[in-house]
This record gives sequence, structure tokens and C-alpha cells, in this order.
Amino acid sequence: MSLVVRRHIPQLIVTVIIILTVAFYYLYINKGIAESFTTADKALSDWAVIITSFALIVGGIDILRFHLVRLRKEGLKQAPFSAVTIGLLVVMVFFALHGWFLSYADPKAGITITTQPQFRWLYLNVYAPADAAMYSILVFYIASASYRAFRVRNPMALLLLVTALIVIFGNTTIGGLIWPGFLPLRDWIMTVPNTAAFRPITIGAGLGTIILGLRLLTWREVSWLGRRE
Amino acid sequence: MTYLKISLGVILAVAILVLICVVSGISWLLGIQLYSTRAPFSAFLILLVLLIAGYVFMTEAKSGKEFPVRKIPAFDAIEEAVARSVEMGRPVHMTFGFGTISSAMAPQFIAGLGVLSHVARLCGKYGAKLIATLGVPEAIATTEEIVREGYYSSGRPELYDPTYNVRYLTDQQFAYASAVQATLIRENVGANIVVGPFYAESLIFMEAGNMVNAFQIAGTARETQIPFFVLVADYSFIGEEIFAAGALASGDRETLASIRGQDVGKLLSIILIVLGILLLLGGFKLVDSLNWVWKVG
Amino acid sequence: MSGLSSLEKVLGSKELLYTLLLLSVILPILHPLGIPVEISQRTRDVYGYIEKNLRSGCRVYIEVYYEVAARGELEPNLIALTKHLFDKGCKIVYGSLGAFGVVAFSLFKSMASDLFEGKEYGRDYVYLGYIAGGEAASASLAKSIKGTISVDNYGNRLEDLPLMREVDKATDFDLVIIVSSGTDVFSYYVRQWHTPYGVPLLFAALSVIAPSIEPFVGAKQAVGMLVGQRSAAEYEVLVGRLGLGIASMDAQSTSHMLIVAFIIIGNAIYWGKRVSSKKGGSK
Repeated sequence: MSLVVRRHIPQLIVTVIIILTVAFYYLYINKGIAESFTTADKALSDWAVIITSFALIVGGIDILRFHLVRLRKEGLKQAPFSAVTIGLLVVMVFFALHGWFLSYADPKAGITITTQPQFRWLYLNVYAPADAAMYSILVFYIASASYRAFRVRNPMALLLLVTALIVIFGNTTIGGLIWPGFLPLRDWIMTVPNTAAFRPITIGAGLGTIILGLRLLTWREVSWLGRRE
Repeated sequence: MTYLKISLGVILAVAILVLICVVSGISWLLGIQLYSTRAPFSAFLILLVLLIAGYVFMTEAKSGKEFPVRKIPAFDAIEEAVARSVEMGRPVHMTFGFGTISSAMAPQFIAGLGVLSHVARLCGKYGAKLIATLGVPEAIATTEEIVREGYYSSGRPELYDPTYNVRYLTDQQFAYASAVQATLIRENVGANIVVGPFYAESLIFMEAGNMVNAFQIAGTARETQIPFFVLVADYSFIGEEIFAAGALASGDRETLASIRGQDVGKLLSIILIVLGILLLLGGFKLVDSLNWVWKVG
Repeated sequence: MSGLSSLEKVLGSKELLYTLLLLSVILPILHPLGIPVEISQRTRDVYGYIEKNLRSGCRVYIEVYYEVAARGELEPNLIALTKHLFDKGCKIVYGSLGAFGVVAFSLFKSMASDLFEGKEYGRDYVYLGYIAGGEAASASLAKSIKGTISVDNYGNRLEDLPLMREVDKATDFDLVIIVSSGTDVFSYYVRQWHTPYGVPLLFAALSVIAPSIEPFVGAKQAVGMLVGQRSAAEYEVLVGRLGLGIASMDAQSTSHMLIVAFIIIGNAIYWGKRVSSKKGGSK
């Protein structure tokens, strides 16, 4: 029984969805059927959105569980981090619920979850700068990674370095002052050799996806279910 | 008898392909709009050919035929990474990237889960602590199940602690990146294995791993992030190797044989590219014929 | 040799590189160097396409798909493109396939409030808001916007908006612009808008993801592409509204030069050590 519930039913669902998705995408047959396919396709993706949204609730509870357990186990060492996480989680959920309540209680005010003033303030003044800061950290990481990686150890590395320098100079205004040819050369590198290198990877990944689909269809791919021997 | 059985499977598969072609031909003659106009008909045919080719290889493998698979150094390095972490008394970290399991990135995520099942078993075998972090709430249950299964099947159930082993962080990209970074540094991980659909967070993970001198194995089929992984990681899976890694992890002959299907696809792509170039020299654009959509009337 | 090693140690310390990098980004923003921006052929092509093919009254759909983190690179592109389109007298429908697009759009509107002066909501532009469903939603929008959603971001019924009475499906638009920080969205539009309906697409992408969508431009599935801050700066010059794009170009130049300097010095030390160790070995 357990094997049926934990393994066969999920695999059956995946198989049916794969076949349906392919059919919805490629088949037409007649106008009525094609329209019902489009509706069903939209319904499938709506289900995915709904399931994902509910999973977020599970995620929220999981975060709470993790930090409460850590607080109990590790005490003061972990306390400041966990307290901030739990505190902000509760505050954001509270204001979001308030906005949600207002959107029904007073629809004329036009307040929804995302436009609830406190929620919006926290989003724009706490979350957004922190988010942008994390993205900006990449600049530093790219700098230190390139410092370490661009060592001319062999002729191929020299080729890589020269190409990188042309693209870097092409991306800057100073490059244009040094030699106007950097810009068109950068564009050529990006459109010709770069695209040539990217396409096989894209094709390979596409083929890999198709074969993974085949393994899922034939029930040979079981790693996503947890292995059971 | 076995031979007959395989032949039946192959015959059935080829018969389906022939049947589809025949039905398509008849409906074309009758003027029935069988296929949608939103995708070229050639795409559908190529998909079918690849699926059937993969299936044929799988049935052949079932009958005992061996298909050698080239070694993927990054895959072999996983065991070394886990063993090294145990020696240093540091935990092993694994994450899958920001792509979700409910989008077009699902195949890469599943490939990541395949690698996780391998890592979890090795952690059980060597008695290593595993921390799997994720930014996709819909995969929490699956991840917990895989890690649990890994420890249980290696006979070390006592090592499994869901609160410690599996950590859902957040579904926001850079919040996830910063949380993973913090986990890597605070837990002082010995091995950092990242396989899955990665976006801009990839380099943040790699540099954080580098800061704690972790043994790093990385892989993704997302082209834009591959350079970062190749540059910084100790070993990397490039492109579709991550899908092969899942198959290698399973150790199952049939699953491994399916990779042959990928090779058929590659061969087909190369033939089409070369043919396309040759025909273009003669003034004929092959791509126009390949982009032909099924339109009746 | 020990001198080289200690120099390598100093340069290799992250603190020094990070501090210099921070300064090289901040100082040019505070004191602009005013290096002239050369305009690339690729940006000229995009500008030329809009100049040549769009006339007053043309309808354009713009996908706003980036989170606040990517604002710095993409918002200047969006502002410059919007300015160009409004100058040409085009009408614009904005939409977002990602929930974060709603915040990005409101920030964009407040940053470019001058562009929207004298423009009437509902007649000259509309914002559909967040449309859930990813690629399926994109396909559904291409088929019929009103069949996919019934209200815009602000709760107005689409039938009540004059612009939305003019447009409903992909073919009603003269151009579709995708301003996105995610790679997948570009392929959604290629697959669901361009392939079946042949609508011209124009991309505005982060520099880091540009290589992965380059094949679409090469295969003429998109009419052109604006890439990151550099393109934004160039486009700002072309449309004559200088903004954040051009202001950050100097910072981009100095920071890139710093990285180049570090790479060159790093290599010089590496080769210096290699040569001297060889000499040491032959003795």
C-alpha cells in the first residue's frame, strides 16, 4: 500500500501530465478540441501556481520550526539571528494579512496586500535595499574571482584573457578613448564566437531534458521520490 | 525468448512512430488540421524520434547489452569530497539553485535531486553530516525524503535530523543567496556541492565556499552560470552532464543506457547543422523547411 | 622573490581589492569624469528600428520583469525606451509575468514621472499588473488579453479602458519589448508571441544574461537587444534624456579598469615568480 501511495501514484501523475502537456502543445485536431486543450493547459499551470502558493505556507512554518528548534538547542549564540528572522516574518505576515483584510472590508480604499502602507514601507526600505545589496556583492566576487582566475598559465588562458580584456574595454567608455575598435570587436565577440559556444550547451541541455522526460515516463527516474530498495 | 521480448518492445516503439506518421499522412491527405500551428511539425517528429531511440537503448540494456559511459570527473569527485569532509570533521553542504521545480527549470532541479540522493547515501556511508539548503518550498518534502532515505539505506538512521539536515531558507533569490552564504560560513562546511538550475546567486555560493576553503563541486545547465562554476569550483558538471549525473548516481543500467538517446540527438543536431550550412551555400535555407508548420487549407 | 610573494599576498587580500573597488564605484558617481559615450551599432539599430517602423498611434506591449536588485541596469533602459515611444506618439500596455514587476513598475513610474505628464491613464498607457501562470499566461495573453484577465493592476475593468478596447491579442501590437532580468521570460515570448504570431520582439536584458538570449537575436527572432547599463547610457544620449544610465557609466569604466589593472599586476607577479624560480633552479 505504502509503495502504491508513495511511489506509483506520484509516478502515474507525472506520466499523465507529461503526455497531456505534449498533447496540449502539439495537437490541434479541430477547433473545439484545440480550445479545450488551451483551457486545460491554463488550468494545469493554474494548479501549479496554487500548489506553489500553498507550499509557501509550508515553507513559512518550516522556517519557524527551524529557528525555534535552533533557539532552544543553541541558545544565545543563535538567538540574535533567529530572533530577527522570526520577528520580521511575523511582522510581514501581520501587515500582509491586514492589507488582505482591508481589501475586503474597505474595497474602495484600494488597499491590497502589496499596497498596505506598512508592508510597502518595509518592502521598499528594508527588503529592497538588502536585496540590491546582495546583488551588488557580485561585483566584488566577480573582481576577486577574475583576479584569481585570469592567470596566463598556457596559450589557451592567454586567448581567454585577451578576449576578456576586449569585452571589458568594449563595455567601458574609457575603452573607446583608447581605441575605437573595442566596441565593434566586443559586439562581434558577443554575437559570433560567444553565441557559437552557447548554442551547443543549450541544445545539449534540451536533449538532456528530453531524455530525463523519457526516464520519468518509463518510471526509471526515481531519485526525486527518495530511493526505495 | 529474451531476444523476442526485446524485439517486441522495440517493434512496439517503432510501430508507434510509424503509426503516427501514417495517421499524420492520411489526415494531411484528408485535409484535417491534426497539429497545432504554434510549433513546427519537425520539432514534434524529432521529439518522437529521440524518445523512441532512448527507449530502444533502454530495452537493449535490459536484455544485457552494455553501454559504456564516459567518466565524468565531477561525479567521481563527490565521494572524495564527502570523505574529505568527514576527515576534517566538517559538514557537507548541498543546494539546488533558485530555479523552481514547478517551472521549465524542473528537469535541472530533478537532476540536482538525483545528485542529492547520491550525496546522501555517501554521507550515510561515511557518517558525514549533510546540510541540504533550498529556496523552493514545494521541494521541502522531497528533499527531506531523499536525505532520510540516504541515511536509512546506508544503515545510519541515527544521523538523520530533519531540522539540521534540510533547511528551507526563503523563496526570494538574494535572501536565499545570503542565507546559503551564511550557512556555508557559519557551519564551516568541508564540501560544497551545488547542482541544479542556478541564476545570479551561483558566484555568491562559490565565493562563500572558497572563503571557508571548501571542496567545491558545481553543475548547471544554465549557460550563463557555467563560466562562474568552471572558473571557481574544483570540479564542474558542464551543461547536460548534470542529467547524466542523475543516471550515474542511480547505477541502473537501463537509466544509463538512456543517455545514448542524448547522443543520437546530438548526432542529429550535428547532421542538421552541417546539412544546413551546405544547403545554404547552394542557396537553399533548410531552416525554412524545418520551421514548416502543419497548416491545412 | 620574497618581495613578489609579499606583493602577491597584499594584492590577493580581498580587503584591499574590495575597498579600492568600492571607491572606484562611489567616487565617479560623486564626481563624474564626463567621459563621452560612443554609441554602438547595436543600440543604433534598435533606435533606428523604432524610428523607422513605429508611427504615432502605434501600440506597443512592454513586459516589466525585473526585481529591485536589477533595477540599476534595467530601469534606465525602460525609461529611455518609454521616452522614445511616447515621443513617437505610441501607446503602451505594460504587464508583468512576475509578482515583483508590480513594485518595479511603480518605482519606474515615480522615477520617470516627467514622461507620464500629459499622458492619460487608460488612453495612452495601461498597466495590467501581475499576471500569474508563467509561460501559459504568456500564451494566453498572446491569444487574448481580456480572455486572460478582466481587470488591470488598479482594479479597473479592461473594457472600460479606451486603449484596451483597441488591443486584445498579440497581432494588435506593432512591437513587443521585454525588459527582463530572467532568461526564461525571453523564451516565453519567442515561443508564445513571436513563433505563432510573428510579432516583432525587442529585448532589454542584464549584461550577465545577454549571451544566453543572443541566439534569438542572431536567428532574427528579435529585432534587437539592449544590454545592461552601457546600452541604457547610449539610448539616453540618443533620446536626449540623460539619467542614471549615463551617470553610472563612469563608475562602470573606473571599476572595470581597476579589475583590468589587478589582472595585469597579478599576471606580472605570477610570471615574475615563475621566471625567478626557473633561474633559481638552473643555478
